[in-house]
Amino acid sequence: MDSTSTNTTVKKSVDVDVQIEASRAVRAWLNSCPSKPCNIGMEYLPDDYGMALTVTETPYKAETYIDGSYQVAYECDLVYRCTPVTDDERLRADEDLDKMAVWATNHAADLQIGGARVCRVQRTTPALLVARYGNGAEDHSVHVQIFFEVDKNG
Amino acid sequence: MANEKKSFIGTTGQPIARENLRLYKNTGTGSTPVWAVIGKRVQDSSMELDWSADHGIDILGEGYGSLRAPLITQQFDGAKPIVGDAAIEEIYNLALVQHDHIALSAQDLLVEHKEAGWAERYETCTVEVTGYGGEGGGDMTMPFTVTFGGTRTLGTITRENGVVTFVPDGE
Repeated sequence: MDSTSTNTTVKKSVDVDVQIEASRAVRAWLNSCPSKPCNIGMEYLPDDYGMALTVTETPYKAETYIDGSYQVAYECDLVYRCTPVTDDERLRADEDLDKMAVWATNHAADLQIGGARVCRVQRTTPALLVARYGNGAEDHSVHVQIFFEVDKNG
Repeated sequence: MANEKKSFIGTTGQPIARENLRLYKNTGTGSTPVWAVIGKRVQDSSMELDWSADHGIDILGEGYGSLRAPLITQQFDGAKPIVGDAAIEEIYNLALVQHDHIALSAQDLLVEHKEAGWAERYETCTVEVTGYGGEGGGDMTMPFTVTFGGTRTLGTITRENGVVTFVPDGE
């Protein structure tokens, strides 16, 4: 038995420019959500209050078609940093994030990633507390998957 | 010349990508063809060659084999109706709407071999739609099988503004 053999399928990453273009487009699209608590940055969060989009996995080709086109899976977290004092405030932070995730799911058609066709947006976790800091700030996060198709037929 | 040997195009040692093999369906007429690609969002499909092979051991104890001209088929099990896909829409109409078995037995198809820069046209192919439906919550599927047949013409493909033109050898 080959000790180096594996049954796992290696995910094929997409080109870096596809990843960067997708991040720019997703951030701009999320910033158009009317119920967002504040402006959404890219990866960076201020010490006590803010929102950021973080890419959790290198975007990869979820499906590859015989004409060279492929479907990209873009996985990200939408993080909301705030300083809730009560459990009710904490729940409200999760509620705000969940509302944004639902909005994203229902407004996939508004997302423009170059010439790609966005297939679907889905939330894979409920919003929940993921980190707490000494200054009382907390990070609440919801995980979102975005699938879009890159057409190589032009 | 029609039977001229072909060479793979690319860097020595580099394997050939799947997208170099493409199938087109004529959505125009025999004299004024309009070639529409088949296979959008299909992940796996191959030309299958059946040579009607016959093998045996003769009375001298020697093995022998013989082949016939290949019967070539290709399955598109993952084919999906897609808005704006001219080839699939025409197949859908012939099979699901019109039940036109005569037309489905006489389809004009073009195979592009970009890996070696040539193409082959088969003027009387069968396109057999074997199903229509799929899983709940998913996309509609319309699997079909192609059997290549009729007059076979070798040539090349040119492209201008996205329009595919087949140029038979010798023209």
